[in-house]
Amino acid sequence: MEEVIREESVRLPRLGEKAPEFEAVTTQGKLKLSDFKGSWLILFSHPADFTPVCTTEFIGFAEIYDELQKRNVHLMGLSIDSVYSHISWVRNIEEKFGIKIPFPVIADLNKEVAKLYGMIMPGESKTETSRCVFLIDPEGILRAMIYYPLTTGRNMDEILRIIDALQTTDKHHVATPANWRPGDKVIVPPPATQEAAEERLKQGFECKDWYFCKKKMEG
Amino acid sequence: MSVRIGTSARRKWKDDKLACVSPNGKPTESGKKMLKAALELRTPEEIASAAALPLFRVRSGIRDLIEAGYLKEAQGKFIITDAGLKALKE
Repeated sequence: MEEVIREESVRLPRLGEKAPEFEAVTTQGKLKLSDFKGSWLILFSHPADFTPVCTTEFIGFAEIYDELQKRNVHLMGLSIDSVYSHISWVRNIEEKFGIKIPFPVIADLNKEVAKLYGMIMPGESKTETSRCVFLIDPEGILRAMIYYPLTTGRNMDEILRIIDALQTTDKHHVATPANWRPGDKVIVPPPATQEAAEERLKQGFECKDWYFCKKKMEG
Repeated sequence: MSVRIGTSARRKWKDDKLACVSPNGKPTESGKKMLKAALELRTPEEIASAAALPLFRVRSGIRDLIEAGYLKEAQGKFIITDAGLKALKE
């Protein structure tokens, strides 16, 4: 008999839209996404507790925690494990590596949040969440998403870099070029009219052409 | 009657893993910090600042403490209840 596989048609979150609200049991009590309103939030998933790559990532996230705090960014992890497993694992990380995990971790045993955010990639695993990162701004808007496979640990520098880039964009209404780092020149958004294009060339920006202008950030 | 309430409270804790209320119904350390910060009518932001807790923890904790009867809302602000005062002294 042919097995019928039902595809679940869940509308996944998209950039620029409101991040889906949820309430979940975490290692720091029952939290709602809206509890983070007014702060940035990095919501990330990992495949499983007590696994080596995930352990290096948790240590990595803990190491950038203070830098994130300076930028008004909170962290929240997630996996399809129980809260007791999470508690045991974060205690183990502290005991074996001397690193305290300061952020909450969602115990998503019923996969509710994982399904809501499309964190399960059935091609990789039907029972574990992949290494997903969702950057949510203070208004609850989903601003960036990154997906890594089960085998590849995330790059914490890149996560900090995206936060810096998004916050710079919001503050100064500019864009950031490839490989941009704080202190580098930023991209002045392209002009929308012919008049603005001509004006642009007189404004003292560093322009290769009317559509490609950079400027130094002040302050 | 009291047995039924106790059972219900324990089940509630089992299901929700409340951060500010212990399985025995007493406020946790962070719950006590919040209650002390709410001895006068305060906003969640003011409670977070006075209790030195992140705002997201306070927003979640307020729900727990209201449900446990230790905190009440008045005009968008929060203040400790008589039960909360009693729990702080225990």
